[in-house]
Amino acid sequence: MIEFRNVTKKYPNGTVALNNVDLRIDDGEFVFIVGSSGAGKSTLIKLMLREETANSGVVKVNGKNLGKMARYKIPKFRRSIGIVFQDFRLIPNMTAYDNVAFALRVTNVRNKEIKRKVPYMLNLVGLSSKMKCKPEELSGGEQQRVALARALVNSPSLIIADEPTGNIDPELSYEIVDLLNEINKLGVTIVMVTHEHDLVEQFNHRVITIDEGEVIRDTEGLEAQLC
Amino acid sequence: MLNSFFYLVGQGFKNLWNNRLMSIASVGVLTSCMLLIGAALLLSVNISSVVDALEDQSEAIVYLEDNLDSDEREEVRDGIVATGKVATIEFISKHDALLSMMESMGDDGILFDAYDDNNNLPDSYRVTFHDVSDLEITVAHITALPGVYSVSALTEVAEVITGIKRMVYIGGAIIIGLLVAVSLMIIGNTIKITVFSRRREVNIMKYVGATNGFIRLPFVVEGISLGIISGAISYGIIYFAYDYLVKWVSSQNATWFSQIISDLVPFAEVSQYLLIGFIGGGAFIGLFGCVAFIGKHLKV
Repeated sequence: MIEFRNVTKKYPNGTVALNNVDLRIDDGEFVFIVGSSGAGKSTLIKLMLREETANSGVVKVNGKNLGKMARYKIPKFRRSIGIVFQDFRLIPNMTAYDNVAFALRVTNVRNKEIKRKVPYMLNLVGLSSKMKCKPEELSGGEQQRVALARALVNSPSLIIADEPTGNIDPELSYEIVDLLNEINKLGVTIVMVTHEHDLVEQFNHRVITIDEGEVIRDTEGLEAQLC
Repeated sequence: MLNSFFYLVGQGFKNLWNNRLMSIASVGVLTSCMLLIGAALLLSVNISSVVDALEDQSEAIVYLEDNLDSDEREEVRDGIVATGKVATIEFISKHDALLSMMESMGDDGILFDAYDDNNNLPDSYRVTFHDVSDLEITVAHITALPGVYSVSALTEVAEVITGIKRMVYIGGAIIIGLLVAVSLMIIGNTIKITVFSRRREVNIMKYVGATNGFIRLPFVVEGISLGIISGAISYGIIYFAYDYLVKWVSSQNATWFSQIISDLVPFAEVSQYLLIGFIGGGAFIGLFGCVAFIGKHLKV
């Protein structure tokens, strides 16, 4: 579960990125967070990942109060979340296999287990034939699927996707969100930030709209499409 | 745990190859710095060895008063040794002094043959010193000893030697210190660039949940390896260059060259210190550089 209570985030240059935000995302939900550039979506994600801390208010993810979390506990916390970025963030000199395996290695998983899990995940995202390819040898859509496999490999209860379709073709975008949709059906909470309204409309999920650092609309699936 | 450790060490070596251009640049910079430091060290050691040899050759003649018996002569000897700066001390009787003088005059020396029974030359001690600093004070102290008539010593030469020695020590330390400081700055910047070029990689690792130690270890392996490789290359170059220098100098006919070569410190005498210094120093710089400069990129 994700909970924001009266959260305000102000950067040192004076920009108020989030202003008194209240929101709650329950386990197993699929939520789109939409808004224009500079609305505060990225800050929302940074707070969820404990990359930033709020100036005031409480941010809780998976029951942990991130404002009070000690620095040394952050790595373990992040392992419980799958993260997907717009620019994929794959390690350039590692193969698709190694990029996915890396997420397991940081949790000290045995080699035997890695050899079993990684091909399974890459197969799940349809890339079993490209395990030995490096990121530069893959298309944008394929790179994003590797990133998705990496996010999934530790069996997280929550996946945070920050504009995962921003760098790929519209057709592939649908495939990626559809894949996330399938993962959600397995009980994984999905929080996806996007500014592609067309894509949002194709899926019947909750939509939180942010503008100038405030939640201006929070609608359920069908309701969102009617707006 | 061991599983991860071996993986990370392996990653460190893999990264050396994957980032080979940066690795070569780092080794180049490290090696250049170590060569400069090594050359400065060898120069300083050699100058100091030449000065030490000159120091060993400086001597004083302590002339004794007439008619001292053997006990009184021994007392003077003990007094001279008590200064704590004496390397050797040799008694020269008035008879030996006359013979030596006659010998130095060659054929004309026979003119002094008749003086053997009426020898006015004094008994003396020939003293060499292992430390000629403050020789003037030492000479004054010996002159004041009961039974000493006078002391003849080249105190001005001793002062020059002491001055050179001090200059070599202080100058050498300053030059080497500056070189080490400059090297650290250059190496620091090289490591900074290396880490900066891979900040994205570090950033990704943090998002996936890697601990700082997990991210640092391959960098540490890389840093230490680069340091050791540079140390070994520097040692090899210095070894062959010094050996070549010694051989080249000894092949020259000029006598002053022969003089220098006889005083050049053999490489074997300093080799182990250089090897430990280069490899240990290189490994330390590599390790320190990586740990220090990567920290900034870990705050994600």
